[in-house]
Amino acid sequence: MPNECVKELFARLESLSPTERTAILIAELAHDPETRSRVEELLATNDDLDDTAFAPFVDSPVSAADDGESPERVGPYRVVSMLGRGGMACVFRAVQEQPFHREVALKIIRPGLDTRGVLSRFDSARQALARLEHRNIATVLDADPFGPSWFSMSLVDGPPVTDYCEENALGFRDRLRLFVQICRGVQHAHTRGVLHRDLKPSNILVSHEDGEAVPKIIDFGVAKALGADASLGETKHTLDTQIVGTLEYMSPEQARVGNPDVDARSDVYALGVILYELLTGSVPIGGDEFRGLPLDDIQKLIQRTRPAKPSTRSHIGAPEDFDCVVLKSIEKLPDDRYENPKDLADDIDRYLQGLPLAIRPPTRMYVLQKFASRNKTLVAFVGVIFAALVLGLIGTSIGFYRESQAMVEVQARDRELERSLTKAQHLNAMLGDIFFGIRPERSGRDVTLREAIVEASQNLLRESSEPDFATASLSRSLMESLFTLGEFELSESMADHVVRWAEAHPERIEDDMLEQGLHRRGHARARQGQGELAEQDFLDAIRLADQAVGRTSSFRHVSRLSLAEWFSARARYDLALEHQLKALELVQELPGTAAANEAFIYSEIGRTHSQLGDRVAALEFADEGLRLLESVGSPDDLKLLSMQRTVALIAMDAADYERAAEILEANAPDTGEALGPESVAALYSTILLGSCRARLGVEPADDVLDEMLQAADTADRVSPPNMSLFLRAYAVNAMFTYGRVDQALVAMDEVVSRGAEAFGPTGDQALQLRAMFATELANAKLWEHATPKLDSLIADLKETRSEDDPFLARMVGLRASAP
Amino acid sequence: MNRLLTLVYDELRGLANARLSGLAPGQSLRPTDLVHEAYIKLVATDDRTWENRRHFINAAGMAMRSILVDRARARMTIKRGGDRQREPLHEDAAVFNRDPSEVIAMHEALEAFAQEDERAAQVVSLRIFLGMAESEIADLLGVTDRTIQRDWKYAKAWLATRMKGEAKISREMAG
Repeated sequence: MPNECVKELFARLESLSPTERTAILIAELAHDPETRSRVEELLATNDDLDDTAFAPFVDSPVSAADDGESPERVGPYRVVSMLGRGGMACVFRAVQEQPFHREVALKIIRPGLDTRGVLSRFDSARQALARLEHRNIATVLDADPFGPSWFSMSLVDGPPVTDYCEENALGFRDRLRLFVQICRGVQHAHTRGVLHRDLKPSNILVSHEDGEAVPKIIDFGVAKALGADASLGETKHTLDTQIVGTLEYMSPEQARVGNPDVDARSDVYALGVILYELLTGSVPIGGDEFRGLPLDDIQKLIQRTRPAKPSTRSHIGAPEDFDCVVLKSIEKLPDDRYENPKDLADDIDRYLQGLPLAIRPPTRMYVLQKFASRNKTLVAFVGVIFAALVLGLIGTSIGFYRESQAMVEVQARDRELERSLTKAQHLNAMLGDIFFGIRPERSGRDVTLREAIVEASQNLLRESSEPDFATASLSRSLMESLFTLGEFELSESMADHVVRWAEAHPERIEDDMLEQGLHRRGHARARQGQGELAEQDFLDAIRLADQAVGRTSSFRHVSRLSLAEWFSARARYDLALEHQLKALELVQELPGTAAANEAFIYSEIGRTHSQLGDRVAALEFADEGLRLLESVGSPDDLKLLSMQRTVALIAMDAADYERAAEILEANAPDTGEALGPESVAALYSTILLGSCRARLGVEPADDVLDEMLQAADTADRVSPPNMSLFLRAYAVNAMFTYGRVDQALVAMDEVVSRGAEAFGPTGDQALQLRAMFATELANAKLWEHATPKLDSLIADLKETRSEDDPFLARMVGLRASAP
Repeated sequence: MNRLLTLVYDELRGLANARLSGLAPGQSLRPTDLVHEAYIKLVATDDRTWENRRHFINAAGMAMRSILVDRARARMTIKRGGDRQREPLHEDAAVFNRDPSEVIAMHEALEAFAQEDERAAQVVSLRIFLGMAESEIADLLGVTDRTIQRDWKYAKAWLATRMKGEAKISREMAG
C-alpha cells in the first residue's frame, strides 16, 4: 500500500462531508478495502481530534539563572543569599561592611552571558537607574568601577504589589492610592528619558517607610535609555528576534518582533495591566491562555482579544464607572492610551476626589479620521461648526477687550477666554489631523471649510491690527489650518501676528509659541518664494528652540528639517544633509518620539543622499524609514503609502527595480483604495510600477505600456500639467526601455511641446522634462538622438542657471560621455 | 552530521539544564531562541550560510527532543517511586505542560511515523519539540506553507490514530 496514496486521499477528503467522502472512496478504492479502511480510520481520528495533544511540548522559561554557586565577595560587598534571577543578571542580598554596615541588593551580570550586547545593556540599566531619584524607585548606590559587571541598589524588603494587596486585603481606593504612586515613579523615569519596558508586579515591591506602604520599582534591567547622554547613545539593545519583557504585561507594539517603536505609552500599557490585576486578581489577557502556544499565536491573541470590563471580574468591587480608566490604559493602539503615566495617575486622582475624568471616549479621534478619509460631507460639516465657533470667539474676544475697563475683570475674562480657546484649539487640532488624513490632492473640494476659515482669518486681521493674547492664540491655531489649506499669504500674516505678540510679551510665554510662529511664517514665506526671509525665520526658530529652558522644543528638529528642505530646493544638498542628520539625532534623543516622525526623517535623509549620488546610503536610510513605519502603521495609512513611494523611487534610482516593483505592487492598489483610483498618488504609483516592470522586461510589453498610458490619460483629465506630463514622461521612457524607439520618439516630442506650452520654453519644469528624456536616450545609447537634445538643453540651461548649478553640471557630464 | 549532533546535544543539554528549570510563570522563551543562542555560540562566528543553519536547526530539533524525552523518562521513574531525593518533581513542572508519558508516547509514535513519512514527522518534531511556527518550518525545509499544513494535518491524524491504538493495547495489557 503506497503511503502517498493514503496521504493524498486524506488531504483531498479531509475537508469534505461524510457523504462526499464515501462517494469518492467507493469510486476510487472499491478494489482496495485495506487502503479505504485506513483512510477512513485517519479521517475519523481527524474529525474528533484533540488539538491540544499537539500543542508544543515546551513552554520553556526565560533563562533562569545559572545553577553555579554564588560569588562570595563582590567589590566592597559580602554576598549573603540570592534574591532573584533575571534574564541578564542575578540579584543577591549582600552586606557592605566598610565604611559602614548596610544591606543592599546587588545585581551581578550572569557569568557566561558577558557578551558585548549584554554588557552594554547592563551598563545602560545601571546608568539609567543612577539618574533616577524618586521615593518609588529603588536607588542605585554604587557600581563596579572597572566596568559594567555589577551595581548595588537599596534593598527593598517586601512582597510584590499584587501579593501585598491581597495579603492585606486592601480595598479599591487603597489599591488605587498605591497604584498612583507607582505611576508617579514611572513618570519620573520617563521625564529622565528612561522607559522601564518590563513593568510587572514582581518588579514592584512594597516596603514600609515610617509605617506607610511605599511601592518601589526595581529592576530597570531592560530599561533602555532614551536620553541624550552620549554614553547611552547609539547602542541598539533589543535584538531583532528577541523579545524583552514578560508577555502578559507587554503592549502589542512591544510584543511585535523587531519593533523599535516602544515609547512611554508601552509602559502605560503595562501599568494598565497591573491596575487590572490589582482590581480583578488576574491579568486581562494571558495567564493560562498563553500556555503552550507559539509566540506568533500569543501575539495574535494579544492583538485580538478585548479584555472584559474590570468591574465584571473584580473581587474587590471595583465600580463600573472606573472601567474606562483601566481600559483606556490597555488599548491596543498606543494613540488611544493615556499619553503618559502622569495623565493616568492624574485621572485616578481626579476619580478619587470625585472629579470628572479627563479622558474622552477612547477611539473617537481614530474613528473620525478613518471616517473623514471616506466622507467629505462630514469633514465639511465639522469645518462649518468650527468656523462658527471661531467667528463667535473672535467676536467675543474683541468685545471683551474693548469693553473691559478694570484689570481684574480683564483677568477673569482672560481665564474664561482661555478655556474657550483651549476648546477651539482642540477642535482645530482635530481638524488639522483630519486635514492631514485627507489632504493629498483633495483639499480643493473642501470649499465650504476653506472659505469659512479664510473669512474668519481675514476678519480677525481686519478687526485687530495690534495683536493681543486672544487673537494671537487664535492666530496660532489658524495659521496652521491656513497653511494646510494652501493659503500661504494669509497663513504668513497670521504667523506674523503670533510672532509680534510673542516677541512683545516674553514674560507670558510658557511654551513654544514663538518658535511655532517663526517656523510657520518661514514655511509660508518659503512657499511664496521668499527664501531668504524663510531661512532667517527657520534659523531664529532653531536658535530659540535650542535655547529653551525647562522644556524640550520640538522645533529643534522640526525647523531644522524645514531649513534642510529649503537648502534642498536650492540644491545645497550637503547643507540639507547636515541639518537632517542633526534633526534625526535630536529626535532619537527625545523620549516618546512617534515612529512616524523618525521614519519621515529617515526617508528625507534617504532622498538627500540620493540627490548627492550616494545610492547605497539613500536606499539604506529610506528602507530603515519604511521599516519603522511599517512596524506601526496600518496599510491604509497615507503616511505609509507615501513613504512606500519614496522608497520605491529611491530604489529605482539605485536601479533596484525588483525591490521597487515589489513595493509598488502593493502600493498602487492600496493607494487607489485609500484615495480613489483617480487620485494623482494612485496614478503616480501605477506609472512607477509600469516603469519598473519595463526595466525588468515584463511581457507582454503592450499590457504594461497600455496601463501606463491609461494612467497618463486619466492624469491629463484630473491633474495639472506639472503632474500629468511627468507621469506621461515615465510612460515614454518605458517605451524606450522596451526598445520601441520610434513610438517613443513621437510620444516624447508631444510631451516636450506640451511642456513648453504649459511652463514656457525655458520654464524650469519644461527643462526638467527635456533632461529626463535626454538622460533616458543617453542611457539607452541612442546617441544620435541624445546628443542634439543635450546640446540644446545645455544651451537653454546656461541661460537660466548659474555656472555651478548641479543640474547643468549633470547634463554637461552626460554630454561628455557621448562617443 | 553525527559529530554536529553530538556537539549540539551537549551544548543544548547544558543550556537546558541551566535554563529549563525553576521559571516564574508567564516567563517564556521559545526553545528556538535557545537553539539560536547555541547556534551563535557554536557555529555562527563567521559562517552563516543557510545550508548550515538548516542542518543545525534540524540537529537541534533532534537534540531538544532527546533532552525532553530523557527528562520525561526520568520523571516517569520518579513517579514510580524512584530517586526522589536527587530530582524534585516541581523542578521539571515547567518544562512539560503535560504528562511526561505523553511526551514519550509522542516520541515513540513519531519514530514509527518517520519510517513512513520522514518530512511530515520532521514537521511535527520541529513544531512540538522546538515550538517553531508553521512558516518558520516551511522556510527551514524549503517547501511552501501549504505543504507544511498538509503534512501537519496528516501527521496529526496518523499519530493520534496510532497513539489511540497504543493506549488501547496498554489498557488491555494492564486489564
